[in-house]
Amino acid sequence: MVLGLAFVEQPKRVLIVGLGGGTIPSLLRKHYPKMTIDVVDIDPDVVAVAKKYFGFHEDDAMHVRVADGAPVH
Amino acid sequence: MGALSRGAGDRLGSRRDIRIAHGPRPKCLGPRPGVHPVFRGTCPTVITDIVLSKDMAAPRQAGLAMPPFLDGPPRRQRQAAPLPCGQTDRRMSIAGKQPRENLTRCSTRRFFLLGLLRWWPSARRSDAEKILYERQSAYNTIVVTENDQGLRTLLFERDGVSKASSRWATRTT
Repeated sequence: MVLGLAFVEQPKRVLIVGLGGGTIPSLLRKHYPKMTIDVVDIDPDVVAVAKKYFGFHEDDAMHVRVADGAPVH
Repeated sequence: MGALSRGAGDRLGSRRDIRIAHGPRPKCLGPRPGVHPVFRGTCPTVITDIVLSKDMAAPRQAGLAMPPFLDGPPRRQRQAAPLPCGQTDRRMSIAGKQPRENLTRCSTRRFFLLGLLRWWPSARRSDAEKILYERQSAYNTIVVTENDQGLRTLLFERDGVSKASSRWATRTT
């Protein structure tokens, strides 16, 4: 899932379609502290569950938008 | 009647009841090497059949005692092993003709086995995990479970595929 990062020398910005439990954005934040992370999920309940039960939190460089991923991409 | 025939008659019972039929004597072409000296130059008696009299053949029906060589525990008939599931004839493959009884029996067995396989994971999950959150959203049924080791799992349907897992006890720091 994060294999594409191996081909980028210094990733600066990434778009993740589908938040789930927020483990992938948290993993990227941990290893790339300066990277801008945009997350799109169509279901607002999933975002709420990720924040409440999986410890996901936004910061200045990591944002979550509730929207359909297809037009955003 | 030769020595061999008399011995057999004495062993089997009364000579009245047993008639030993002699088959046609084979042609003897003369003494052959390797033949016992007794039979050298003669042809041995060949017993082709032993005929029992009527009373000897069915002594129970005639009210007579069973002769010693016939009396004994009845032979057990071997029970055939059940046919494998899906096979209806020992000489036939599964692709052969299949009577309905065996098919029905196998279908029932398969149904219960599949039901058991389907039920077992959910039963184990319900024993080991507790559901923290379950709600029908606009797109999915969102389920969050947690097991006894603090591992939380996000599912998008009950007994569905895990979408995310996180060990909550270690992430609270």
